[in-house]
Amino acid sequence: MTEAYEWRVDDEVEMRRLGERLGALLRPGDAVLLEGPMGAGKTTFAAAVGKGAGVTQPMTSPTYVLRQEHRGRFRVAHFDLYRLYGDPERPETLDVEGVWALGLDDDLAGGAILLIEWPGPLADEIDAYLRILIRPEGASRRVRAEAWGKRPELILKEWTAS
Amino acid sequence: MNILAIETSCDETSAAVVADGERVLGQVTASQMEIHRQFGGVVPEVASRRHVQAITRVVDTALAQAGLGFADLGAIGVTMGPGLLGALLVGVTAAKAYSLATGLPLVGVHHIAGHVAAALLEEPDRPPVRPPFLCLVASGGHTELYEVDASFAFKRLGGTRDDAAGEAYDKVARLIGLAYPGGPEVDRLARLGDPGRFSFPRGLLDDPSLDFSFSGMKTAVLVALDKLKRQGQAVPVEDVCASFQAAVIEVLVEKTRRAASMTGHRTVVVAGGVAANRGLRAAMQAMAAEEGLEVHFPSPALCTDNAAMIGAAAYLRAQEGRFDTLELGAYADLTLEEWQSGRYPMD
Repeated sequence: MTEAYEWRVDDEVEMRRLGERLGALLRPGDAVLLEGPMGAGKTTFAAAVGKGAGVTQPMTSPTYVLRQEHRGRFRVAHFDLYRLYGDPERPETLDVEGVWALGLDDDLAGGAILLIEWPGPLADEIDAYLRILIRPEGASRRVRAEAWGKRPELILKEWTAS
Repeated sequence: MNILAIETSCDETSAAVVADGERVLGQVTASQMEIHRQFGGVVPEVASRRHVQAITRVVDTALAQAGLGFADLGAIGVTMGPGLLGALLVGVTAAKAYSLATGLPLVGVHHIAGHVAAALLEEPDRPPVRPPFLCLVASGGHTELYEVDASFAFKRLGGTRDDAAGEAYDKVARLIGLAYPGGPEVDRLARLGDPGRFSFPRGLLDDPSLDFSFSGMKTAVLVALDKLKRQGQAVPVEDVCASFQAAVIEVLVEKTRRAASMTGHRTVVVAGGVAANRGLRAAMQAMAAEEGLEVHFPSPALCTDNAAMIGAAAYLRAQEGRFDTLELGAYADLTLEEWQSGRYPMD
């Protein structure tokens, strides 16, 4: 990792604004990994990123279908790997093969913007990504962004300046 | 007309033979629930393999139960989406193979249209319902209100903006330490608890739309659990379940009441896995009595994923002469609008 940035977000409105600003900067092939405990607001943040990328339909939770595709200015592939863990508390129980079977390579090759909730050890298998950690602190949230790779670094720089 | 129907969109491998879209002559469902419970969740690769292993067996057994052979059938219906792609493909491929081998025409069915069509099936304690009606579909992946017209065409009135109701059940179950999938267990425990103990949010209840929001529920339950922990108190699991269930049910019932009053429909169908929830059934019936509505629930066995409901929907489609070719595909994201128009997404 080369760059990191942290925000304190006081409510959902602020969280959405932050996500939308990020979404406006993304292009197909960009991957955003979203981490944080259940109820932290990962799906809310992902939906805001999608909106920033031009998705106009409500982005419902992909938990049940694992991968849900939306169309904005580009394709947006929203993943939730939660159901692919033997035990979500133990990252090593992720069925990584199952994740690739969802068509990740096409998306990474430029097919879609990737928003991935509960990525766990998948990060080790992706070359470049923006990692977002959401930590609840009472009613507010601590949002940390880490850039892994050249293109993510550029995105982070633009995002923090926007 | 007898239809052989196949459903493999998620965890169940199911085949059924349905006569005239309303009588179930045979149905077999091989559940993967036990396997997934061992893994703690769905493993798509495992799910697809299990479907492959079970598919011909469930088809043969459903036909044997009905006492019929392929020569007695008029069509083959199959779930073509939405669902897990690998799982859907097993059913669609099998249906195409049977169609090719027997010359029977194919009918691709939308999974949600299937759930709604479950209400059109005849059951021992319940006469079949005929459209038009208002329908609430609530399951692990969906929470939507539809108007269904006399020709079984759907008009979406509203739906969840984030989590599905069934998903909220499974996730809250996970937060309080119940095994996957925890929905039915939450329903059971809720009957033993105090629904007024915690005040959980009624998402979008005061919003004039017919949309739902259940994602705030997880956070609210977490905050409540956190507070108990800080105070050194044990978690009153039954009270959490009862309070959570009260919040979800209130929103589902009130939005359905509002939809009935807005559209003027007097008949309401509640379908999908969450329609098996006993608390929801009781609350819907009470609301229907107040409003003078007639409410119908398919039996719990027909609320969860099953092939008979696909047979019922396929029959209506076949009656309109709308058949599919061997080009039929499986679509993970198929919308009801796409299915109705017959303009399926491009691969």
